[in-house]
Amino acid sequence: MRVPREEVERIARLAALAVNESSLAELTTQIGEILEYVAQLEGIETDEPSGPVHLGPERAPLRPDTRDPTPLTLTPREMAPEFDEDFYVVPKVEGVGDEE
Amino acid sequence: MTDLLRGADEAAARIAASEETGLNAAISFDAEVIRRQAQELSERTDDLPLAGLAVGVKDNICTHEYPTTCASRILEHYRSPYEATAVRRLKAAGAIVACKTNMDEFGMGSSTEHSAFGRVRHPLDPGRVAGGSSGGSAALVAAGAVRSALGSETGGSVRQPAAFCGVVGVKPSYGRVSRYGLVAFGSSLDQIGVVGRTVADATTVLELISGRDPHDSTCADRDPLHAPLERQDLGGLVVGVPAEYFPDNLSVAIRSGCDRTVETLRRLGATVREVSLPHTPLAVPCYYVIAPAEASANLARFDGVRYGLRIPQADLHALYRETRGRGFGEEVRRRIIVGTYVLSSGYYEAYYGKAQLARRRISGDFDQAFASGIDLLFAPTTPTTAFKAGEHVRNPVAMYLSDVFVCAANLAGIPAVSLPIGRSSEGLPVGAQLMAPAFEEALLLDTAHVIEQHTDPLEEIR
Amino acid sequence: MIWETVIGLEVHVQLATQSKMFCGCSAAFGDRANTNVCPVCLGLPGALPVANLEAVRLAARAAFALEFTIHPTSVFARKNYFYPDLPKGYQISQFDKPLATHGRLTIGSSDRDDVSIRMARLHLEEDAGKSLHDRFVGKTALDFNRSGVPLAEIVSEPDLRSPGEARAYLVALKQVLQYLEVSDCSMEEGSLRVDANLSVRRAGDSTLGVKQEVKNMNSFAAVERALEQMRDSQIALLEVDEAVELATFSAATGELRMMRTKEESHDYRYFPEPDLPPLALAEDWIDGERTTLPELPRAKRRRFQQAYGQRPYDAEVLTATRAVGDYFEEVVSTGAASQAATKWVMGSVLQDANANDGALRIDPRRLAALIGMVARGDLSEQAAKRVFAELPATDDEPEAVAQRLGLLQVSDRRRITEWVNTVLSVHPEEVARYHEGDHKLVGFFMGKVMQESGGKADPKKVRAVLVERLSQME
Ligand SMILES: [Mg+2]
Ligand SMILES: [Zn+2]
Repeated sequence: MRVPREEVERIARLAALAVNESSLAELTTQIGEILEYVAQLEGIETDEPSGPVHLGPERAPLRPDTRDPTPLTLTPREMAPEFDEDFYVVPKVEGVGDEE
Repeated sequence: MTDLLRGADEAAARIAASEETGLNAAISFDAEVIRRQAQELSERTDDLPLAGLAVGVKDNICTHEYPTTCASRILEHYRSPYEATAVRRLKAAGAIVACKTNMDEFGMGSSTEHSAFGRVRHPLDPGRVAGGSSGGSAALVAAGAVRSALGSETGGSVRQPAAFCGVVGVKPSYGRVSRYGLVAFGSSLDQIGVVGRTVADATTVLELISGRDPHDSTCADRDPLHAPLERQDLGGLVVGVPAEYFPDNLSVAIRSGCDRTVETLRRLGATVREVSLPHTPLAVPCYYVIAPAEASANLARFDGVRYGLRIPQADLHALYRETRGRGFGEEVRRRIIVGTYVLSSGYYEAYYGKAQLARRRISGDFDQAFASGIDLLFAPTTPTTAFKAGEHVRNPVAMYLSDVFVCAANLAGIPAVSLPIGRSSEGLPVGAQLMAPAFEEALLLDTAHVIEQHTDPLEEIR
Repeated sequence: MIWETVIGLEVHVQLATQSKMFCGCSAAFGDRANTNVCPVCLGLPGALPVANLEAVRLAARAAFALEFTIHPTSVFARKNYFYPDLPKGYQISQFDKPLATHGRLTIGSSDRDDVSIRMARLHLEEDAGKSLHDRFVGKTALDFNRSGVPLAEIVSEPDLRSPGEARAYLVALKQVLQYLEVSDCSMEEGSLRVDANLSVRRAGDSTLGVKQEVKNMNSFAAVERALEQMRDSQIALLEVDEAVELATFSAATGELRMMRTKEESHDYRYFPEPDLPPLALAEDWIDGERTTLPELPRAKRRRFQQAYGQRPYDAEVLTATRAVGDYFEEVVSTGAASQAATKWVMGSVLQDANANDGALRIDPRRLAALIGMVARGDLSEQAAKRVFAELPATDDEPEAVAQRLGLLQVSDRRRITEWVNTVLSVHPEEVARYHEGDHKLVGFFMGKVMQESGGKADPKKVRAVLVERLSQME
């Protein structure tokens, strides 16, 4: 299956992944091959309900509303790439300057 | 007291020695860390069933002892501020987290070549791969450095390297062992498994880590596994051999090895029947839709904001893209793109929807086989013995096909164990697997144990 | 041209739980940043969600009160997008199998009487962290205390026909949710947030016009204002045959500002959350919650009018919150006449509450006692207000307070007769003029008697005794 290069670029943007020019051609080919391979599934006729398969418990266990978080042995500050005062910090989000 | 410390030092020496051969099975290993744990154990007054047993822990399982890197640049220096339930239970029972084992990055791979920290060498032939993604755990056990190690399976990642390396690999039922603290790859498939030198070694560890966990909603509400290995023979047992697992191009050594084991099964009193699992060919394509789809979401949290690698950029989106683009390796990026693609609007039904349908059919095959009076299934673990390093690296689909016999059990959530059944003419280990209905680990392991007692894993298959 | 405005609202309310939706962290508002966090709500590798029963219960109760159909099995789903305050890169929400569908809320509209607004869905999800864009220059600061706080998202059908109706819908919705104690519904603290969409079409058209969205309003008034602005600008365009463009605005500053949206950002790649089995609710649990719902605002208003003879406006004021309604009924049940209780609660009590953060500071039994004293004539209305003002500062009974302040009225007939006799005996001329027909002099005598009693005499009694004595003297 041929996947257009632009489609791979679009998906990479959606996945927030930088893809450098030099590897894009090979990546596009490989993605095409993988998608072609898994496209065998298209042959399955849909004569039955196709909801998700759930393994494990049939129903979600529900926990009581108590405050008992798993304690952290490292603080947020110790783990964060950038932390100032009490906050994690990232470059300013563009275009949403007045958004809460 | 001193026994614990001496044992710890010996364990550290064994790991150091095997790493010196260039195995590269451990990502983090420190004799001091081992000793310190032994020291802490010696101060405990409670019961320690594992009495200082040194275990390897796959580096996608959160531990306090070492970084938890998932063999990825993006988590190269990441230390988990909490511990996985399985690890906590092992330590409570007196185990020592001896080292963190090498793996394919985030579990994505079948050869442990996709590690940011270098590939794992096959213990018997450094030019070959150890299998993957739990290649480090399998190689470490095979090299005799530890008796058992934790691994994880999403699509055969414990059984396949165990088969390649000639050790025992157990993949429990989905929900048997808590996933809390196992870094998610394909959440509906992931399960912590155990690599052991013997069935008994693996069983001991599995019993201790299994059982309900309030931190994992998908963990079954069951008591820990109790699997006494007490059978002497296989009288009354009905074993199914699925025709689809013996294709024409199956390697001769593996086919002959399985034939020989079937003879052993019969000799020990089992009835062996051929069965059909007709949807087996759908397993790999189904797996390679579901696992990447789930992975694309599971790996979105690695964004350079709260922990792990950050490649600083003036623009936030550039920061995301550069951090993830450079922090993830090639195979991980590929799978994220495939997973994002199959979930994106317009493609969802054709891929993800169909994959769910395929999964249902594959599961249905097992249900039917087990409902027809079959107790267990017997099949080869891999289509070939350990392949050469670099053989499949540029061809992802060929690599994926090495999982053709293992990933159906993950899709169906059933337990399986791979055990060594002999050596090929090249001297490479050959593995075969047993699969059981969900939560029938006791029968599965008991049977594997009987076979093990009547098999010489070092004997050449002719 | 006659234009019709079509509005739909999406409301997120934080559910009033102790802990978060999927972890045991405190869900409290206002704690020091990044202190209520754990592996789960920070999205650390390997962490897994476990759903909070109380959040499910509160959402289910809201769904019942809003006449939704509750689905015994619903499914959590991942909504995937990148945003720095979204720690996992996806939000656990519900998508194609939500907790509840097809709800209904009746609102009062100035244009078309009571109207029933349909609601599409109510589902459970987790809140994101909070982004602070002006804390640091050129940076966005992130606080994950809010990450994972349980939310119910309530989506209306596009049934609202004016910004005023939108506001009425929000008022009614908030009132129901507060009655249920499902949420604080505080827009200031962000526990109730509104996204609105509006389109305009020719009256009579059946297809909808181009929809514009607005978010980040900080009050219901701001919602109404933003919608008015959007409506007016769309109509202005349509009047001159220009096209309305798809857009999202932010009203955070009070003015509408267009927000940049990327086409890709709408591809959320929803899929069922593999970390959570389906949310399956047992029939008897559902029935149990359904049957223990409190009386809702509309029903209570109707009952107050019937049982206590209240005017619609009074009933509305006294049922504005469940606390006020309960308070009023407590006053009545501890002995006050309903009419006097209505007057007192609507007056002094609510005034006092408004000045004190809504606190109802006087316990209903003491208020009933005070009202009883007025009814018996032991206290004048004026004096009763002075006693009321003293009550918050003391535990004493109203009677003791009145006594201490010397405000008790004398209604004892013998004493009043004595004062009347004294006054009449020292004013024979006025008595004579009265008897000649100058009946206005009653006021003069009243004043003198009140003076004589030191202001303590019950004026009603005084008048009665005066008139009686004067007629006897004729
Ligand atoms: Mg929402
Ligand atoms: Zn938390």
